[in-house]
Amino acid sequence: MSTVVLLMFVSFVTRQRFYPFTDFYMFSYLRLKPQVCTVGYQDKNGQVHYLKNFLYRPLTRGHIHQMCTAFHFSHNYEWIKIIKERLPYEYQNKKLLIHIVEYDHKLNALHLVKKIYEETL
Amino acid sequence: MKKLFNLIKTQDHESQFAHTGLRFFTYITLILILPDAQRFIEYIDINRIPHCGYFVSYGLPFKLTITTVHFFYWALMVAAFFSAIGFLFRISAFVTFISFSVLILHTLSSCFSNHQYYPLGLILLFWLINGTTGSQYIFRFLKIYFCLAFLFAGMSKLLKSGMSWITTDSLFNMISLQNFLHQGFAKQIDYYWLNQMILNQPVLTNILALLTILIEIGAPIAIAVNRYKWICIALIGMMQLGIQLIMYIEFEPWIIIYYVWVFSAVDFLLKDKFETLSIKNFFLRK
Repeated sequence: MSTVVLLMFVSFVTRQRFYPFTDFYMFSYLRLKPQVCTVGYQDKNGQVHYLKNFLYRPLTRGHIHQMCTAFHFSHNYEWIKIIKERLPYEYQNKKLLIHIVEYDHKLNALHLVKKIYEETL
Repeated sequence: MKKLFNLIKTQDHESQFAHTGLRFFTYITLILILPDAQRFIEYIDINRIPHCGYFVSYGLPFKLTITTVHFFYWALMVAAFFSAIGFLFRISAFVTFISFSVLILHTLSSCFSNHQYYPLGLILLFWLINGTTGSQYIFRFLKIYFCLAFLFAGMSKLLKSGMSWITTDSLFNMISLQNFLHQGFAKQIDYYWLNQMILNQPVLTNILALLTILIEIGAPIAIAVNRYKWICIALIGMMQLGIQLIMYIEFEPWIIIYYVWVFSAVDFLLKDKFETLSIKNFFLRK
């Protein structure tokens, strides 16, 4: 009996884990190209640089992509403040951008697909 | 169902030696694989995000502070050590489970899924419910859980995407994108060539997707068919190692769910030699 109860519990936990995800990372690339939502900034020459991992520890680019996707539909960009607070001082006066970019593994380069948000300074 | 249950039962011997060994290695590994307290403290700020409902359906109903993170972290460490050596096991296993759950839910509340720690919570719960010495079920529970964890992973892929998981470029896109998401991490630098080798042959990604589904759906073979048990477990292990090498996804903590097979096998091999093998006899025998 206890085995059955535990099996039901495992089933419940597993269900909780998989089904609430509307656009879970693992399944979103069935229809998308290798695209990711990420944060960048513009330098004086107008060139866009995407923030490196570990600049905003413990958040990573994976975090950014997940938060961006989660809040994209509601156009809620409050979360970018949390990123900005974690960046080093030299990034504080820069205009942050949220872009959807496509990764080209052959060139190890990114192509801009869509501009989502630009911060106003 | 009863036949299946009896089959699993006949595979289990679970002497005190194997039971103690499995318990010791499970809790000691837990201590070793957990990140340091500072890592949990770093998540306190991120928890200010109002909701992360799209990705995480559960989280803590309260916020942790630096002091409470330290409290739960050290409670977990001490209790896990006591559990490993079997000192006040019921209480220490309870404290381990609760403090582990609090810390993991705390990090889960930050819009990030800690997939590498998912299976551990339930394993700690199994030990709490049925982990006392003399229990006859912990090996069985852990084996069933091992199979279900992979079976549900395979089923969710099929239910959510059907054959598209195999026929589309889904896996290719993910393997490709991992290079950007993990850029600058040590693992990505170490195994980059393997990732590139797979990406240069896109058809390989479709084959790997098919193999992943087959291996995950076939996980119950490990408990249902004794003859092919080791092949099945080896394939699952190789699959996880492959994911780590190609996609840089961490799976180290999952080693805990493999221990049950190792100790079960050791127990089986030693059974004929030491029928009444126990830790006490093991050290005291002349």
